[in-house]
Amino acid sequence: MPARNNIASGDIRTPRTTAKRLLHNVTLGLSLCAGLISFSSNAITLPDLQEKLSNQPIVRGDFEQTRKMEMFNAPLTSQGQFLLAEKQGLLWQQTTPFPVALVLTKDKLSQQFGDQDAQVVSASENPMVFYFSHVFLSLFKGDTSQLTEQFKLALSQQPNKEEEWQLVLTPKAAPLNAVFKTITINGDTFINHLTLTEIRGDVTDITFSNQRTAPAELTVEEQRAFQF
Amino acid sequence: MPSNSKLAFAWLFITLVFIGALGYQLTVRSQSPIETNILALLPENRQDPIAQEAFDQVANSMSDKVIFLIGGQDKQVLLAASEQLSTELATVGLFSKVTGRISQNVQQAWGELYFPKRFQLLTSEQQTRLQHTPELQNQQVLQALYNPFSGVTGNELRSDPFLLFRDFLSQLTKQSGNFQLTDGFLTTDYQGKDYILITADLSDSAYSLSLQRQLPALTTLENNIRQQYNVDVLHTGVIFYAAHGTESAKSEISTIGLGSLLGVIVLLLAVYRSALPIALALLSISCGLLSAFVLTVAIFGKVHLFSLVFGASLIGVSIDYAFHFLTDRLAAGNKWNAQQGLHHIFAAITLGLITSLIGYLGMLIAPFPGLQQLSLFSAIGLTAAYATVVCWYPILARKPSQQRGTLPFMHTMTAWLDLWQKPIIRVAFPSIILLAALAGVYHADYNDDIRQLQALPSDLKQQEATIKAITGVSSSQQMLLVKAADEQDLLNQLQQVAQQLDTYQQQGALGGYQSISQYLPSENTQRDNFALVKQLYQQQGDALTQQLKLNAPVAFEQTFTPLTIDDFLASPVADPLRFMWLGKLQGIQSAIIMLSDVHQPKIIQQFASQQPNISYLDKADEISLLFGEYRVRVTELLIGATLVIWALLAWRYGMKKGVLLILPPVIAGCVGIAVTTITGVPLNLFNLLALILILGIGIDYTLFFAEQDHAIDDNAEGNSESVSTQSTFLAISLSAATTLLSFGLLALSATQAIHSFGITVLTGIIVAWLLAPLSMSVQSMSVHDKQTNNTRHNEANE
Repeated sequence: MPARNNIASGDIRTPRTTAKRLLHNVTLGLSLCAGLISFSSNAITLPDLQEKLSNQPIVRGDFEQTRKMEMFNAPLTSQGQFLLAEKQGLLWQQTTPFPVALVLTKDKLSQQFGDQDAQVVSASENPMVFYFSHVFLSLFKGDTSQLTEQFKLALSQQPNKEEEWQLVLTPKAAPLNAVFKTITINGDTFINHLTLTEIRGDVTDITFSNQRTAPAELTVEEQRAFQF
Repeated sequence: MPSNSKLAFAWLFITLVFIGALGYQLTVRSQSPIETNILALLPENRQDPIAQEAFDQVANSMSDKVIFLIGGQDKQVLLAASEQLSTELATVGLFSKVTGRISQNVQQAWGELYFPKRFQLLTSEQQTRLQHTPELQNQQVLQALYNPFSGVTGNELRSDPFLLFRDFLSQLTKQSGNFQLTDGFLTTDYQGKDYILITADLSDSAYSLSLQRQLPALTTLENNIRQQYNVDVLHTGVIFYAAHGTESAKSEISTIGLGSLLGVIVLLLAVYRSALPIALALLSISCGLLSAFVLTVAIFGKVHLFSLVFGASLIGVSIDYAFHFLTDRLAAGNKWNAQQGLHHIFAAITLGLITSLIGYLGMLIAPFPGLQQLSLFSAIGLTAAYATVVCWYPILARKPSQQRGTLPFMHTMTAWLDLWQKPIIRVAFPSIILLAALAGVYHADYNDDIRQLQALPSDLKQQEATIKAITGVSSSQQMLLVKAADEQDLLNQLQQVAQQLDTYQQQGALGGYQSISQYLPSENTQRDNFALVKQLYQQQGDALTQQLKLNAPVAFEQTFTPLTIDDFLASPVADPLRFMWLGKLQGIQSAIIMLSDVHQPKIIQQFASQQPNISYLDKADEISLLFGEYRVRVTELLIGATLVIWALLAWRYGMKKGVLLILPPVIAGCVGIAVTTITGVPLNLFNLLALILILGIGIDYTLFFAEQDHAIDDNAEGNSESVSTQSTFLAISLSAATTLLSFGLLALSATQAIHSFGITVLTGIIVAWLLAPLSMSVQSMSVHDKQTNNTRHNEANE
């Protein structure tokens, strides 16, 4: 800035001014380098991540859920498709081992098992039940601003794979800290993994694949699913 | 009559005793002698003492609570504001307990109370499922485990493989309103804003004056929080209404008291133009109020603020006797003899006192403590004022007043009284008024609903309504009282009633209800549940083990230990519910079910009346019914009193005269009713009670005229000074003026009950005063003419 001023005012360059200018340039250069270095080692911040993920208003994909519990001889697995819509909520369609259709919006949850009637729970009726669903939805969305309320967040990246990031959430208070040790979310463009580790060691692992953002609009059927 | 100095000393002694008692009541006694609780005005339910106990419990538990809601957009700011508010509330001195952040203890209390007994607790849906299709429970477990939103953890599955407890718990929390816990605070959202709830318990009764005095400090606190954090702060609680009631009563007492006093002084100055009458009048008023206050507190223990508001009107009424004495003194000029003066008016004021007492004491008939206090207060006050006039005035007013040529307003009064000479006026004027009044009475409309008597400040009501909308918690005034022989029997009864109430709820007759049975099943039910769960494990345990591929089979190794009512009542979970369990009263166990949003009370009343151990309680309705009942009784009393007074008058003055005497107050009463009809306000019990007063006070005016005639007749042969008609009329007019002022000021009250009273008496007294000359006989007019001529003749000679 001083340099510009000097040019504009047409001052005679004195030796002192020259030294100043040199020092300034060096400082500027150094800070640029530092910035480059820091940029590459910690490229993404929480707000960045939030923005990145919220730029995808509609995400569709497949999921595979595995629940490993000490009590179980073998883990429980399920597969299906999901649809995460920024505004409306989450559609979770399990196909194996048995068909279940779950729809979660901000204030209602609908569960339909096979051909049976859908059961609807509303947040106003039973806010306590909705507590966990809200947390889960925030996890799915990567809504870090909501998650900071209940969790300590630690965001990190692989040094040579800039695209990939990992977010480790540690619950701050009851009731979550009595149940979960950590929750880990991994992803690049999309969220790829969600791992919930309980205090006693039981783990729930959800892997997302085949994520796509097109079509960018909900189909008529999907829209209908969210209206219940 | 007995020697005047003896009387005077006797009365002096009594008054000094009262002064001493007053000092004692105001200072030495620990309790304030003034009662501000509006419920103390209401009659107790003597037929069912348990119902009264139920009502008291509910009223007490609700009146000590204050609710604060803090609202804002930013949750973090909101949490900070709530933290600060709860800390500061604890130090402001109003509250014994402030519940902001719910401690871990309390949060875990639910789990601690119910979790150990989870094998005995089932929802009705679960009971049906386990009875008929237990395999569906397995399905529930599977679905919950595969559902990522369910939050089922390994921990939970280990201790409750069939996941029964979570449904039971979720049903319990469903009843707790719209709230969830955020960082320990109860939060909810409404119309885009978040709200945090803080509740507090008062350290004393909501009606305690010392507590109400600290409310401004609370307001400052709330304002600070509002400004500092830019959040909304709402509050509601009985104490705010009570404080408002106290303030409004206090200001009314000052208005009415000062207004009446000023009016009296102004009148006295205008008419008597001397200091002595004013001093004497103030003396009479003070003795009246002093005696009334001291004796009422002595009899009732406390005087209600409402009675004091009304009692302030006594100033204008009790001054009547003084006026007669002082006017007599004014008229006599330098021929004044104090003893003679008293003698002239003695019969009249004594009869006047008796008829007024009949009027006031007639109100004792209604079993409302408030009205009883009022009537005794006024009766004692009047009697004391009378005693002051009779005992002290002759001694204190021995000196004659300054000679005045004629009485003030002489010409106006003469003109008016002359008008009444004409027979047409004597017949037509009262008849027209009577007919108009009867037309009004014919259209009279009643409304006994007690709720219309309460003037609630709109700001407080607004906050209450908002809080109600946000929290979903509504104040219920109706309840069912359930009685049984023992605790478990009671719980069973409560469960049965709950089932019936569920049906009513579905039908829309009822919005909702709160009962202990929703939180604690009876032992029988727990046993049944236990058996069902044991059966479930036996029948479906293996299937579940296979479905979940468990490495150890599910086993059922529990023993049954009932969750008792004592366990429940001792837990923090029961804090907001304890008041519904009344325990053992008179050998019977009883409990309350609170009803909210009762849309069809008749259905529920009918249900209750069919069961001998269930009663439907609605205090407001109960009292409204009582009001209606007493309206009828008061009307009978009114007729009775009229007849009694007429008999008294007929005995003294003869039949025809008796009718003329009673007619003006009766017409005045009709007008009193007609006026309310014209203004479109429906009548209530208070208007009718006012009629008794109109009778008692209005009769004084006609009585004085009649007594004056009587005196003239007596004196026709005698040689003592005659009482001139104008002097009587002046005294009557002065009395009417002050009475009108007092009751007119009462009519300005914000409390509907006092207002109705004031308006009715106001209009009645005006008419009674207008028609009073009816009782003057035409004969007395001619005598009066002679006297007037004599007086003028005398003046001309001087």
